[in-house]
Amino acid sequence: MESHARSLPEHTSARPESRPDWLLLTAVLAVAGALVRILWFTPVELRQGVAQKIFYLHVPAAFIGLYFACGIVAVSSLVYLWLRDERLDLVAESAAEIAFLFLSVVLVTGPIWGKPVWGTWWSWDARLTLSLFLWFVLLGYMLLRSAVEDRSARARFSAVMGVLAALLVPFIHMSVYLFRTLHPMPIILKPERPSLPNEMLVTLLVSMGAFALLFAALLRRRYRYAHLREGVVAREEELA
Amino acid sequence: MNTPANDSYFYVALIAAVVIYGGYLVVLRMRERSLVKRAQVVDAASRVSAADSMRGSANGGGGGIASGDAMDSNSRSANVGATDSNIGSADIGDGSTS
Repeated sequence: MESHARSLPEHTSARPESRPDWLLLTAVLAVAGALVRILWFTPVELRQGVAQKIFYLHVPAAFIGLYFACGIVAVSSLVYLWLRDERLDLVAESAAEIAFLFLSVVLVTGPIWGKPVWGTWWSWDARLTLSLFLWFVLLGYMLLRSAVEDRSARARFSAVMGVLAALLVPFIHMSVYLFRTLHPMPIILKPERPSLPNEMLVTLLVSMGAFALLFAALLRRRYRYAHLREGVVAREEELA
Repeated sequence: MNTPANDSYFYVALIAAVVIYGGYLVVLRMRERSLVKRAQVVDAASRVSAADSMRGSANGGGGGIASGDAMDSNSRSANVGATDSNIGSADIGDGSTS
């Protein structure tokens, strides 16, 4: 397993530049299409006004960042600790960076939505504080990876940290049930039917699909980068 | 009930999201480019290193190890320096990277 990332594939150096990234292009077009639907084909909510449309940016970023990206970090970190396959370590590294990206969007768009609706940019309640805490843990995960040089130790330490970071996700999900909070209850991930008018629900699902595609494209691209980097580092070590 | 006029909040959030996602893509692309350059230097250095070792072994058995040692110690400085010019002429020149 160790040998997987040791060799630099033939002509790898030309790969990221020479072919168009069709998945990424499709994802960008899908996001653009979703934005057109959000802007011009989705009704304005009566009480919140146009600011409610932040919902279609905020919720997909939260859903994908927390459940998809952090889920991949947790699963690949756990399986890494079992199999010690370097590829899983690189998948976890890539997913953690994308989780950090999506969570950044959540933490920026949330307060911008909160100001006109709640009357405040930020509230130190459980949902918001735990989300900010996860953002810092993911930042710590990335700093840890850049601080440890030994590959095996770096992979082991960050796998443990990745699992611990992902353990925050169920608490973030349950925080609106467990604590008093300004943040609304889930409207999709709940036992009953989604509490949204059909037009808004379709827009949310379109937006979710588009951002899921963007997530997949970014994850694949980030993984390729990490794989190439490991190959280059291994070859540099051989030459040194 | 009057719908509140708060369009600007949505547009600010939209611009912020585009800047974050787009900025990440730009940064990732820059990191890829610098890594590609690093990979080209390593490729070229290992090619020069392999050619040197072949030349060293063709020169004769006794001197092979000594010349190999010398090559290894030079591989970081002289060989990598030499490969920089190779990248310009061969790797980028053949259109394989751009």
